[in-house]
Order: sequence, then structure tokens, then C-alpha cells
Amino acid sequence: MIAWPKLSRLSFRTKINCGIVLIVGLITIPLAYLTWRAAAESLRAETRKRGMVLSENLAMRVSDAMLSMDLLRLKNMVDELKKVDDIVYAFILDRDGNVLVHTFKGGFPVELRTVNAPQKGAPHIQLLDDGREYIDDFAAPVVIVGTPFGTTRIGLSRTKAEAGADRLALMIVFYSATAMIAALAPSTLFARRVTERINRLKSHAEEVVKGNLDQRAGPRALFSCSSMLACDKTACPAYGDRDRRCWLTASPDQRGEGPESCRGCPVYAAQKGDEIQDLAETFDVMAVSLKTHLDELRRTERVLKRQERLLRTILDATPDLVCLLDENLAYLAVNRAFAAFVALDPQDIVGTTDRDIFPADEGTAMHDENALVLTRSRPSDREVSLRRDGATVWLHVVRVPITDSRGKAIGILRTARDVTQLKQFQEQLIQSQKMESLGKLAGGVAHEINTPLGVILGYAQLLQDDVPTGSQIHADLQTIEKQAKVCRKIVADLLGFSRQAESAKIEMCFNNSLMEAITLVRHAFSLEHTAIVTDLDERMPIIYGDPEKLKQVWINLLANARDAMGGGGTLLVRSRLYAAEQKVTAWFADTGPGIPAENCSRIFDPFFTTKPVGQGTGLGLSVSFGIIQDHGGSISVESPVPHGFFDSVDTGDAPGPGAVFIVDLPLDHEETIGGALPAGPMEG
Amino acid sequence: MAAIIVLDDVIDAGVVIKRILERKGHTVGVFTEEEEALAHVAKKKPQLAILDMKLKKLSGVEVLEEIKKLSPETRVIMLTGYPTLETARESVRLGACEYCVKPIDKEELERKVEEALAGLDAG
Repeated sequence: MIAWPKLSRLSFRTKINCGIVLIVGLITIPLAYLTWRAAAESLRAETRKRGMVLSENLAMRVSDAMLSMDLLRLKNMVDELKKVDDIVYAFILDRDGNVLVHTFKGGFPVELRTVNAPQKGAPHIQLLDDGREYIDDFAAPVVIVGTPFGTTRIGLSRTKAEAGADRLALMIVFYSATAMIAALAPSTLFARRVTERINRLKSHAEEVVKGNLDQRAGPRALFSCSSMLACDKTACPAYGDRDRRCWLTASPDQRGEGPESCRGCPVYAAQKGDEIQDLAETFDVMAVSLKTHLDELRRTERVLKRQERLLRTILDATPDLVCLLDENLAYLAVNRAFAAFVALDPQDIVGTTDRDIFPADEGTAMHDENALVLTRSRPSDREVSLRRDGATVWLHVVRVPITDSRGKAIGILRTARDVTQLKQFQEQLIQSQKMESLGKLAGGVAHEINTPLGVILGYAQLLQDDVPTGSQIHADLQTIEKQAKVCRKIVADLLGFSRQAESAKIEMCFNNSLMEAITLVRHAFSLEHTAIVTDLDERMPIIYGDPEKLKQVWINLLANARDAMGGGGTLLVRSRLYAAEQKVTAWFADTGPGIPAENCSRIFDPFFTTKPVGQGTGLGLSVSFGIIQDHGGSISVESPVPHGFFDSVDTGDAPGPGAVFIVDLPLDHEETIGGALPAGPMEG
Repeated sequence: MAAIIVLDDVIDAGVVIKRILERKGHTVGVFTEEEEALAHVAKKKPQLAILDMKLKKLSGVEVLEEIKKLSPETRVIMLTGYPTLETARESVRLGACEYCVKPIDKEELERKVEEALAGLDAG
């Protein structure tokens, strides 16, 4: 089998050439054949006519010689005929059919004598084949005065006659071939020109596919439409453009119905090309619009990418825990803070639910809340507390349902902010507000109660003079006096707590103030097996404060520590100056049983005491709190004592968890120094 | 012995002071109305006045100022259940010789009165 190339795979040039050859061939071959046939036919007819004429002519001319039996003349006559090119032979028979003369050189072929004869006194033609060529044999009767006298026979070579027709056909074929070759040259040139342009378009298309959209496939115009028409519409995309045709690039309002509306335009007339140029120009316009679209797409992509990056940065930089949940409450995306909070990789979180990444109880609660927000399609906003590393973390969680265009909830955006510190501030604020209102109340009560108390005390003391010492009434009056004095102490404490009594602040040595208090109580404490150890900052920080009141605070704290330890222990007083923060801090740590966590927040509340009834008013720490606040400082408690706090101190064996009170006092007293007052005569 | 007035909006508070001081031999007049007390001071010019800070219409400081105008020789002890630095300073400025915080002990009251009267004698 021969593998013919598929027609569609042939090159355009080959196709055009094949077409030309086919057309010329289809025209010339039948033409040549028909011409040859017609020529051969007419030659044959001509030959027959000629043969007839020759044979009849011979028959007429030989009659004389036959009558006289002049064989020489007869021989001359036939030999004369033989000189004619296409006459193969000629001979004459007598009435009995005997050969009189003939032109054969090598002897007469006897069978030839009888193969042909005149029919009914008229000449007869018979086609003979001698094995080498076809011969038309003509037999004409020799008639003398109505009597057949003999027969003349002439053989005309049909082959020789037909050779002429063949030559003619050959000539036609030759000229046709010449014409074909002559036609192939311009057709090849034309095809090459067309294919070259198509190839250029093709390579241009390949460049476009590769992404090179700047190449031009169409020819550059000599003049732009704007210069030809002296057009001043600079906003038109075709303005001054020589690379692309105005009927393709002009703005819709300029070009109307496109090329059709340009027919009468001189620019169109001057620059319009053939279909391939049209194609190339359309191609250029396509490439340019493609480039414009691509540029726009790239720009949009860049903007989108930048926006995405920006958004991502914002989300990742925010300390809030942000996450997006789908309608099945599975995570779609989380920010870095969220991932850090649950200590997982963001990729690992996507696809999971709250139940998977949070502890069982928390996860279920959060999941239920999510589901509620999703079904109700209303935002929720709540504060939740979680236990993390033993500490309580407060989160302010906001859930916003996300809806599609039809209003159906398709997910939740959840943000959670750590409000633990805020909560602490809130608690502190509540505490100080509580203190303030209690202070006002206490001040009012103190004010009102002092007068009746004075009356009771006065009479109790007065009456004691009226009754004998040692009597029951005297003892009773002493009890009244004692209890009235207890009341007076409470009221005085309340007044101190309400800070209605003004402070007399001066510059004072912080360490000295501490040491004064310690010296005062050290002996009494040692009797109860309580040792006081000091670790004071050697830089001797100077503060601005009321020495008496601060001493009261220190004594309060020391007494508290001693009471807490009960059976004795070690009391560590430490002070440190924080110059950078402009503050000084004092710690009062004991080795007692410590303070239960639930009491830590209430310990500064007025009248809160864990001591047995009658042993403490519950005002000592409140008063201390008030005094420290009045100094712009803060006081707090920690229990148990931080690990390593007692490291530098010999605390004896097995110290309890203990508690430590921390007092911060500012060094900066710019604000209070202006209101400094000398200590007034305020003895009570 | 001395003539003393006590001005307090609560009569019982004045009476108990009167009872204590009378035992020491002083003559004590107790008032709850500022006008009556001031009229008495203007007429009798007592050696000592014990004034509560909180009165019915005026403050102890205002009454002190009036007394010092009417009778500059009268010694004044201020009493208050609600001590503040301002009233203390103001009282001292206006010539009060003592500023005591309620409720006051019997002994303390007796001592302060003695001191005030001694100062008067010395003055």
C-alpha cells in the first residue's frame, strides 16, 4: 500500500500547484485526444478518398497499355505511384486475376492477389494487416468499353497516415505542457506570496500564544486616519494610530456599523487591503485588545493580591482571635492569633470544628452558641471565661452571621478579644468605687455617731465618779466606757478609711518609715515567735507621703502577717526602687497558711475579716488600701508566695504557702506637691 | 472658777460637758441656738466657750468668729466629730486655742479646759 499524504496536510503552495496542473491537464488531455481522434479520422477519410482516386485514376490510365499489353508502360505507371511516400505497393491484375506488373522487390506475395477485389464493377477498400503495419488496400476495376479487363490494386499505409495525426496530438501535448509550466511559475509565485503572508500570520499567532502581544501582523499605514482627515478627536482610540486601521479601532460612536459604514471614506479606500490583510489587521486589533484586557487583568490581580496581603496582614497583626466558620460550623480560615491561642497550625485548624480543638466542655458550649447564631441569623456578643494554664482568661466573643444575597446564613465570622486585663481593671474600678461609696457612707455615719457616742462615753465616765470603786455598777460603767471606746475606735477607723481626714505629706525616706514600724513591733512579735527579716533597697528611696499614715499601713500589714501565722514564723519585708518606672515597691511576705484564692479579691473590702468575732474590725486592710490609694499607689496580695521569694532567707523548716502583700508607691509627686500642707494640730 | 458656755446642736452632748465641768466647779451654760449663745457671750463675756463644729444654722467657725468679735478675751475650744484640715486651720487662725475630736474623754476634756483657762490666766 502506498501511503498517500492526506490532502489536508499538503502545503497551500502544493495545493495551488496541484490545482493548476489538474486544471491544465483536464483541459489539454481530452482536447489532445479529441484533436488526435478528429485528425486521425479526417486523415483516414482523406487517405481513402485519395486511394480511391489513385486506384481509379490508375485503372483509367492503364486501359490503353493493357489493351496493348504494354507491360513496360504498366510497370512504369505502378513504379511512378510507388514513389509517393505512403503508397506501400501497387500492382495490376488481368481479367483472370494474374499479376501483370507489381512494385514488390522481393517477389509478389501470392495471397495478396485474392484478398481484395472490386465489388460489382466499383472500387473496393480492404484493410490489411501485414504484421508490421495496417494497410488500406484499394481494388479498382479496369473497364474498357463496358468490359472488365482487369483490376488495379494500390496499398496505402494507414500507419504512416496516422503518424501525422499522432504528431499533431504530440504537438498539442507539448504545447499544453509548455503552457502548464508557464502557468506554474506565476501560480507558484502567487501561492508563495499568499503562503508567506499566511505563515507570517501563523508565526504571529504563535507569538501571541507565547504571550508576545506587541508584534504587528498587518502592514503599517503610511498615514494615520487623523492626519488624512485632519481629525482633532484626540480621545478617539484610532487617533494618530498607524499600526491599526481606524475602522477596527475607532470608538463605537466614531465607527458606526464598522467597515460597512466606511465604504465612502478616503482612509478606507486608501488603506483597505485584501482578505489576508483584513485578517492580519483584525488579528492585530485582537492582540491589542487582548493585551489591554490582559494588562487590566494583571493590574486587577496585583490589586487583589495586594489587598489580600493587606487583609491577611491586618488579620494576622491583630491580637484578636479571628476566625471564619462555614454553615457546618467548620473553620474556613483563622488568623495567626487564633492559631497561637489554640497552639495549632492554621492549616490544621481549617476543616475542624470547635469540638475538635477546644476542651470538651468549652468546645460543646461554643459549638452550641455558634449553631444558635446560625439558626437565628442574629449576631451574638458575650464574655466567656476559659481556664488556660491555671489562670482565667476572659474573652469577649462576637459572632456575626454571614448571609448570602438571599439572606440565608452561610457562615459565621467570630472575633474574640482577650479582655482579661480589662476585667481586672473593671474589678479594680468596681473595688475602688465600692470603697469610695463605702467611704462616703462611713464618713457620714462617723460624723453622726460621734456625738451620741460622746454623750454615752461622757456619762459612763461621769457616773464612775459617783459610785464606789469596785462596786458592780462601777464595773458595769467601765464596760459601757470600754465598749463605747471600741465604737470610737471603729468610727475613727471608718474616718481614716473614708480619707476624710487630710494627709500631711512630706518628703520622707521610704526605708526609714518601714524600719520605724518594724522596730516598733519587732520586740512584741519576737515574743510570739515571729521573726522579721528585712531586705531593703540600699539606695534609700525618698517618697512623698504622710509618715504617720504610712506607718499605720506598715503596722497594719505586719500585724496582719503575724496574726495569719498564728504560731509564729518568718516575716520578710523587702523594698526595691524602680527608678525607670518612678516607683518603689515593698513586699510583706509571711510563711503562714496563705489566703484562699476566693478571699484574695475580698481581703480589702471593709468589714471583711477572717478573724474571730471581736478580734478584728475588718477595717485595717481597707484603711491601708485607702491610705495607699491616697498616695497614688496600689496595694495587692498574692498567695501563695511566688516560688523562690524566701530563697535568701532562713525561714526555718517547712514554711507554709504564705501570702505576700505588695505595695507600690510612686516617686513622682508633682501633682501633690503643690497641695502640700503643713501638719495641722490634729490630735485626736 | 470660770464661766463657760457650751454650744452644741444636740442638747445631750452639751449637757454631759456641763455635768463634767460643773463637777470641777465651773459655771456652765448650755446652748443649742447660736443667737442665744452669742447674746449670752455679748452680755456675760464668759472665759471659755466650747463650740461644736456642726450647729443648727451656722458653723462652729462662724460662731467662733462672732465670739472673737463680741468678746476677744473668751477662750474657745472647738469640738468636731468630723475633723478636716481646713476647719482646723481656720479655727486656729481665728484664735481657737484647741481643736478636739469627738467623742472626747472626760479626762481629756478636763485637761483641755484647764489648759485653756491656764492660758487665759497666763495671758
